[in-house]
Amino acid sequence: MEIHEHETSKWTVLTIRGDVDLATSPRLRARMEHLLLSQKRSLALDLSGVTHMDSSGIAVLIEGFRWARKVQVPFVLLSPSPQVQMILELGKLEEFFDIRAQLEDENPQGN
Amino acid sequence: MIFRSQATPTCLKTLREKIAGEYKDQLTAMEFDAFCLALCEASSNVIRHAYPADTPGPLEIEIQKDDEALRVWIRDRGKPFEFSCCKGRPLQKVNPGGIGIHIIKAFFDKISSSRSKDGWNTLALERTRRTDNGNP
Repeated sequence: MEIHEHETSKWTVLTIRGDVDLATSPRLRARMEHLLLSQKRSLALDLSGVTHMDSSGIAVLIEGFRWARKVQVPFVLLSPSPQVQMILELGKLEEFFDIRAQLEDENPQGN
Repeated sequence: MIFRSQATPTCLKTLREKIAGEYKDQLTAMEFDAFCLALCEASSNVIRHAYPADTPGPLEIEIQKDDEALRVWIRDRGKPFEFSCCKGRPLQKVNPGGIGIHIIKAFFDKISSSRSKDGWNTLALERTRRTDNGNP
């Protein structure tokens, strides 16, 4: 799993590529915890490049949602890949998260 | 196909690569992804619950596919385990854990667990072959 991070005027965007599973999700969790709880950043996770996500990855997303709510900052999921979409549907979580195609202050090229 | 490894989180990627090599061309893309996910969830349960985190033991996965069904046996030598006692969390309650069981049950039609006298746990999983409209 690779995590790339960039800032827009309003958001910290983490672009996740590869597999989010029991081996890799703790690294994502640690980064999200820092950005949300320590830095109180508005956080967007670009999930378009995720090739596999298991229940440990979903658990991290739910924790992220709760951390964001605790510090009152926005937390959104961007363009979940079919593999992420599948597990969101299996967990009946499609309505739980704020899922968007892109951020309002960022064009599709990410500039 | 038989996969043998120590039950550690890093073995999951190797497992996915191996089943992709064997089964990706034999299933639809959606069915393969669901199979991969369900199998990894069942294997993750062994990694997380069968052994102490600092002393992982063996994990063996056998997969057979024929015209009638896709069958999987997941074996470990960890703590005794009874799948029928695992309920998962109610899906209307959003909590970080407890959806792995739902994922396994959503893919496989028949699930049973047993323990041999020599200390092997076996989780047996079966998915009946679907017709073109997705029904068993």
